[in-house]
Amino acid sequence: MKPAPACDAHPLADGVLALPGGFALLTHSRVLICADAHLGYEDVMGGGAALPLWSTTEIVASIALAARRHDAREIVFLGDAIHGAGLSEGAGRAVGAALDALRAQARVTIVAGNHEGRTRGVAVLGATVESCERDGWTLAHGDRPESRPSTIAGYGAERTIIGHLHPSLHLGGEITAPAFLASRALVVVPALTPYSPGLDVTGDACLDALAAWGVGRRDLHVVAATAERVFPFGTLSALRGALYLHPGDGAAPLGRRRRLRSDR
Amino acid sequence: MDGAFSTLHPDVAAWCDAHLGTATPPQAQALPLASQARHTLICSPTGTGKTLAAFLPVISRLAELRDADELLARTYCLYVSPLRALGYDVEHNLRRPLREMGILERPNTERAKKRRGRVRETFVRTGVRTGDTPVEERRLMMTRPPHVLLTTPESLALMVAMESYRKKLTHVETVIVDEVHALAGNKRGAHLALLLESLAQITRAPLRRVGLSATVAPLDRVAAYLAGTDRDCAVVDCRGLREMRLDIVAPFAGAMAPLPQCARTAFKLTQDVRTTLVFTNVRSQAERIAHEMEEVSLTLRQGQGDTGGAGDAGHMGDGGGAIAVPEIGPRTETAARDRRIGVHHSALERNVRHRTEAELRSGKLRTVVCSSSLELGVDIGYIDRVIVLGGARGMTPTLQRVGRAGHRPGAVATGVVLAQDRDDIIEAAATRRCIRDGILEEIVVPDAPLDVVAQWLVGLCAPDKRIAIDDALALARRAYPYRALLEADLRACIAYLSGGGVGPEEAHVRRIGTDGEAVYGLGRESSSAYFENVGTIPDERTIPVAGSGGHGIGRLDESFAASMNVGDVFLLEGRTLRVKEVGPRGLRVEPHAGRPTVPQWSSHLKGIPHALASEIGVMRNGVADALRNGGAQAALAYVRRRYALDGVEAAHVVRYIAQQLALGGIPDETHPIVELYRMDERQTAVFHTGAGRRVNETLARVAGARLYQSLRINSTLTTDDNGFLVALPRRKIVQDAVWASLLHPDGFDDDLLAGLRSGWLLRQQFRYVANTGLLVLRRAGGQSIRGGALRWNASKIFDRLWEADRDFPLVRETVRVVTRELLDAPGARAYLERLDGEPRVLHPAAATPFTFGIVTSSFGDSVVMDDRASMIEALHERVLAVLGESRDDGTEPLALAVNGPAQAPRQLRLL
Repeated sequence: MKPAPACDAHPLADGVLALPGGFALLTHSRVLICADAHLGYEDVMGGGAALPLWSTTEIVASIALAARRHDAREIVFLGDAIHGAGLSEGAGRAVGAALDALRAQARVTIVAGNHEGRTRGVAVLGATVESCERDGWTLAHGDRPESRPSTIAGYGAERTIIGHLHPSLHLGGEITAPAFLASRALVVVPALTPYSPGLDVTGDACLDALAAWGVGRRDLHVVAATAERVFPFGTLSALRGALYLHPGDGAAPLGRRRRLRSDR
Repeated sequence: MDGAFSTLHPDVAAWCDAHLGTATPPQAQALPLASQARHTLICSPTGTGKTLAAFLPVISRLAELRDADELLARTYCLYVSPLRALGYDVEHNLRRPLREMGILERPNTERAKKRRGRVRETFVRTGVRTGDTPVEERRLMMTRPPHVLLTTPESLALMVAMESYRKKLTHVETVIVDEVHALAGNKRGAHLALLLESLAQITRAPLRRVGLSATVAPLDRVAAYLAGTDRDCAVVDCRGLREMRLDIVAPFAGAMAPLPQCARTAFKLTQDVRTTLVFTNVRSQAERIAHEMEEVSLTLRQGQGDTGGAGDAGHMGDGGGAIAVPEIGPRTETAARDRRIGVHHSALERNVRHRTEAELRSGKLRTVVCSSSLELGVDIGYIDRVIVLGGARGMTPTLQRVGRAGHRPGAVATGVVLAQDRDDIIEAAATRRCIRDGILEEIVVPDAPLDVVAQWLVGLCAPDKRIAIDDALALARRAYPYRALLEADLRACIAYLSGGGVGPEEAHVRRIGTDGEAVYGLGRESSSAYFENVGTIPDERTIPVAGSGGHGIGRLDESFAASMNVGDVFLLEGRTLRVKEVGPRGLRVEPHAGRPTVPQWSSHLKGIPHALASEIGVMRNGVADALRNGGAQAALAYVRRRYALDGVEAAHVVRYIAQQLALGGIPDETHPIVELYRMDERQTAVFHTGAGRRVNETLARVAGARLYQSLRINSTLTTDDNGFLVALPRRKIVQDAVWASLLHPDGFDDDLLAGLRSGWLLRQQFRYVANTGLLVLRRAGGQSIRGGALRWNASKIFDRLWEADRDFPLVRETVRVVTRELLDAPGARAYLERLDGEPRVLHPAAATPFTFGIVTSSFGDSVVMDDRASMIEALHERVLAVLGESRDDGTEPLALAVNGPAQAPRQLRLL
C-alpha cells in the first residue's frame, strides 16, 4: 500500500471507507461508524474542568452532517459514546437530547465501551449492545479480549472494526490528526472527541496495543483525516521508516528525532 | 550581657549570654523591634544569625507563657519557608537552644506522658508539616498542635482551609517568612500573601510578621509585600555585612571550553580547599559535570600523578585576585573512596538530598555539584569555595551562591565563576561591576494574578462557608500583590468558579456557589478539588527511579523516561545507571559502567536582568571604543580599570570584541545590527540587540509574526541574551529592507499576540494557570491526571476560550504571565521606541563571534503559524514525495484503487 493523494474518501478494507472527520462508512448497508465520541466529557472531567458541553454539541452536529452527506441509514457508536456513566443530570439530559435528534435522522445503535461502565450507560444512552454484525464485519469497542479474533489475521479470520485506541498521527508540537489503521481483517477507527491526544500510530506503543489483534506494521495502512479530506499515508511500516531513524538503518528521509524499535 | 538580649525572658537571655556572647548586627537591631511588636524585614547575608534573631523573641514569649501557666496546646508561631528541607533544618537548629534552655519537651518521657491530655503545658514542642509529613504525624498535630509549627505555603493553604485545623491556629502571634526574596516576586508569594490575610482573620491577637531575606532589592517593596497593604514594616538592613570575593577563570584558549575541560578545571579548584560547592544553571548540567569530575578524579587515582590532561590553559585567575591552583599530586589518592563528588538537585529524592547534605556537613563529601537547590539557606556546614559554572545570570543569584561560602560571621565568601565561553567572562565581569556599584535586580511583585486569587477564594469558602463578596474583596486587597485588585476581576473569577462564566452555555460543574452578594462553599465533594490541587507550583510530570532494593533515587522527566528501555544507561546523582525494569511505578535501575545518556528536565532558562544587559553593552562598547582609539593596550587597560579584569581573561575579552569589530559591528542600546547569512541553505538573519533574553524573545516573536503577516513565511526563532536569530524555510529569500523594517513599535501589541498565538508558550502557560485557577485539575478522585491528557485538555480549552472569550480571567492571566514574566513586553516596546532609525544590515563574510553565541544556544522555538490542516498536508506531501515512487518494503495486504469513493469499494479485492 503506497501513499495516495488526499481525497474525499478512501477505502480502508472490503466495503469500508474512511471519511473526513474520522468517520468510517460501511458502503453496502450505508452504516456510519463513529468511535469514541466521549460525549459529556467536560462534565465528567469537571471533576476536572468547569466548562459547558462544547464538544457534545459539536460532535453530534458533525455526526448529523456526515450522516446526511453520505446518506447513512444507520449510525453506530463504536463504544465510549459518553465519557462516563455518572454524568450530571443536566449533562445527561443534554446528551440524551442530542442523541434523540440523531435518532430522528437515522437508526442509532450504541455499542457500549469501557467508559459506559458496568451500567453500560443505559441511564443516558438507552439500550446498548456489546457488539453487532454489519456487512460481515463485527463492530465492537475493542477493549475486551473476548471480542478479539482467536486466530491470527489471515484468510478466514473474523473481520472486526474497533475504536478504543484513539489512533492519531502526531504532527509535531502537540498537534495531532485522527488516523485510521486498517488491515484486511481489522479496522481501527479514530476517536471523535477532540480532547484526547490519541495514541500515535507511528509509535511503538501503538504496535504493542495492536499485537493483541494479531496484526503488525506491515499489515496495517494509515489514513489520516481532517474535517474536509482524508490523507492515505501507505503502510505503517513504510511510514515509520520514512519518519524515524532506527538503530542500524541509517538516516530516515524525514528523520524525526525519536527512538523506535527497529523495523528489521 | 549584651543589651539587645535584655528584652528577652531571663532563661533565654541567659542562654544567649552563654552561647552567643554578643548579638550580631541583625539580632541587635531586630530584637528591640520585636518588643515593640512591629512587623520586621531582616535582610542580612547567610550566616549572620538572622534566623535566631527572628526566633529568640518567640522562644522568650513561650517561656513567659509557661511561667504564667498559660501555655496551651496551640500553635503560637508559624514559620513558612519556600523549601521543605529548610523547615526540617530550621527545626533541627531550633531544638538545640530550646533543649539547652530546658524548655523543650522530650517525646515519650514520663513527664511528657503525664502532661498529655492536660490543658496547660510546661514544655515547648516544635513540629514540621509539609507534603512529606506522614498522615499519622499530621493526625497527632491536629490533637496536639506544636507551639512552633514549621511549614510551606502549600501546607499553610491546607491548614487555613480546614475547619478542624483553623481552630488550632487562633493563638498564632508571630509568623516568620523565611527567604522572602524567593517568594515576593512570584505566584507562590502572591498566594502566601493572601493566606497570611486569611490567617490574620483567624487569629485573636494581631499577627506579627517577620521576614528573613538574603540580599534583595528594593527593600521597601519587599517590606510592603511582607506586611500587607497600608501596614508599617520596619527594615533591618545588614546587607553589607559579609565580605565577598569573586574571581573569574576561563579554562580555554579558543572560543569556549568543552564540558570535560570545565570539569577538569573545576576539579582542580577543589583540590586546595576542604569543601567546594559547584553551582550549575540546569539539573542536567549538574549531572553531567559531576560525572565528568568523577571521571577526572578516577583517572587521577588510577594514573597517580597525571596532572590534569592536555589542553589546560596554564593559568588561573584574573585581576580579582589570582587563586593558586596546585598541580594535582599524590595528595588526592589518600582520600580515595568510591564516590567523591556529590550531586544535589530538585529531581533527586529527598533522602538522597538529605544524605548529601549530611555528608557535606560531616566532611565525608568534599565536593557537591548542585543546581539552584542549594542556593537557599539549607544548612550544609562550612563551605570553603563556591564555583559558579558559566555564571549565575544575575547579581542577586551570584551573591546568594557565593554567599554560601564561608558560612560563618566574619569569613570572606570566595567564589569563582568558571567561564565556559567568552560571553561568560563578559557577563561575570559586568556582574561583578554591578555588585560593586550596588546595582541589584529589583524584585517585581506580580500584579494581582487572577488564577491564584481564584484558588484562594475556593479555599476561603471550603467546605461550606459563606462570605460576602465585598468582604472577600477587602480581604484580598489587604495582601500587597492584590492592593489594586478590581472588583470586576474578582467577580469574573467568581463567575467561572460558580459555573456561569464560560461561553454562552451554562456550565455543569461548580467549585463554589454565588448569589451575587456572597460566595459559598458547596460541601466536601466540591472542595476536594481544592484540597487535592492546592498550590501554584507548576506540576512537573516525573517518573520515579528506584534502585534494585526499591529505595528511591530520583525522578526523570516524563518524556525522557518514556524514551528509556530496559538496558539503557543514563546518569542520575552523578552515577551511571542501567535500566533493569520499566514498570507502572517507574524505573528500576542498577549501577553500571558504560557511556550514559544525560537526562533532560524541562526548565525555563532565566534571562539576565536589564541592568546587567546594559552593563554588558557598556563593556562591549567601551572595549570597542578603546580598540578604535588606542588599540589593544588601551582596551586591556580599560577592562583592568573598569572591570578589574586581567591576564588571559582580559585578553580573551579584547580579542573577542576585536574579532567582532573586524567582521561585523557592535550594537548599542539604540542601534541594533542585523547580520544576514546562509546557514544550511536557509537565509538566516541574526539580530544583535544586547537587550537581554526576555526582551529578545519578545522581539523575535514580533519579528516572526510580521514576517508571516507581510510575506506568509513561517520562520524558526532562536534567542539568547545578546540577540535573536530568524531562520527562513529553504528557498525563501527576503530583501535587506524587509529585515531592517521588522523592528518598529507600531502595532507592537497585536503583532506580539499574533506571534504568541501561533507558538506553544501561551498554551503551555495556560495549562499551569488553569491548574492553579482550578479550571483543569491536576488530581481528581485521589489520582493524578495523565500529563499528556492534562496538556491536551488545557490546550483545547485555551483554544476555545481564545475564540469565545478573550476577557476570560484565566486567559488574561495567561497573557499577563507570558508577556510580563516570561517575556518582557513593556521592555521590548520601550526598546523599539528608543531605537534611532532602522538597524544596519550587514553581510559578514563569515559568522561573527557574537552570532556564533546565538547559533549555539539551542533554546529556541519555532513559530509555526499554520494550522493542523496545512501541517498534515505538508507532512503528507513529504511522505508522498519520499514513498510515492520508492518501493514499499512491506507486503501489501490490499490492492486498492484510489479514484474516489464511488468506484473504490468495487475495485477492492482481496489478494
